Amino acid sequence: MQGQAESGSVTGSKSGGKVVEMSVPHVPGHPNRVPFAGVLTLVDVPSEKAPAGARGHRVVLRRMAAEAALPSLMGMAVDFTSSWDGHDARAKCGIVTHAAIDGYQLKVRGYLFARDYPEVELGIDEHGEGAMGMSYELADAQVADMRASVWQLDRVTFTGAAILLREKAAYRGTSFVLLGEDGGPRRRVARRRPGCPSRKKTAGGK
Amino acid sequence: MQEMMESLESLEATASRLALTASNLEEMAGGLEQQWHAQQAEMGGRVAQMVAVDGASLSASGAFEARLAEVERALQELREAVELQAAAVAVPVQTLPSQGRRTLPASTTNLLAKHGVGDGGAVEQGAVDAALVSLPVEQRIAIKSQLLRAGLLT
Repeated sequence: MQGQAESGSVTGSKSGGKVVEMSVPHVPGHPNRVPFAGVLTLVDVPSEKAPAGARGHRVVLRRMAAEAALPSLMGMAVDFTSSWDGHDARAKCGIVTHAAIDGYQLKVRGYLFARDYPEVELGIDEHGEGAMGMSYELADAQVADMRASVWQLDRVTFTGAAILLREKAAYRGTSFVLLGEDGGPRRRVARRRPGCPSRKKTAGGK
Repeated sequence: MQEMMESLESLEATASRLALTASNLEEMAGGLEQQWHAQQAEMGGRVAQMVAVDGASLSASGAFEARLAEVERALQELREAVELQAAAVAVPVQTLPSQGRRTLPASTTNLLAKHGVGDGGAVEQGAVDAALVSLPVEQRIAIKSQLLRAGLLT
């Protein structure tokens, strides 16, 4: 990708989509950071289900609205519920540090507070990464025509995101995976005791 | 000469009617534009909050209430575990395994003991998985979290 990783930078990607990221200094073996990557939502594609708050209407997040709202994702929290079916603003288990639109996908990356929330990794391992998806939380959404069967969102502000079972999400094309320290696929390791430094290995065994 | 005068008068009259018609059309266009903007304002709207969760699934109240009760129970067990751990906070983490019984709620200790797991010391994840296999996912996660926080899960 082009551009420098400076705080609040907005750059362009090879695919032409907008990229927004905030700089987080790398700390090798940080015990409370596990990187993650996911597809938060799709743009210009109707949701499979009506989101909560949309009064039964499926929605389409327009590309230009998503691009304008990307900066509002920076620093927003990722949360979860113990039943993996929605949002809980009191269970903020991670943070978004990078967002980009790639084709029809709005992709995000960030860090999970793994030590503070060991149940998140456990839950993902129990259900399997392929079963996990993401859900956005919006505020002040401007709807083009509220009488339309599918609402077009012309302007939004992201206020957070959630990790949940994909079947519970309004967009079934979302995803969520935990990564290794180098950003590659995560390798499950034996459970460590609290207080021990993270020793997650990559697929390359580094 | 008279014919020319009449033609000119006729042209002037036509020009006046055209100007009047143009003025009327302009006024009508302005009115239509105002109507269009008003309709747009009426059709469009703002939504204070929206979350991309299947809204319909949240209204399955029966199953939801049952799950909520389960989660609240797990949460209470976690709170008890945290309180016990806070009471033993002066003890270094490395010595906690020998005091495992005191950092876990009695209900968790009893459950594990029923399955022959955990005699106060560290327990293997495989043994815990086998012991908890009959429990709901949320309860398994809650108990494993208690063991992790107590430093008893290997």
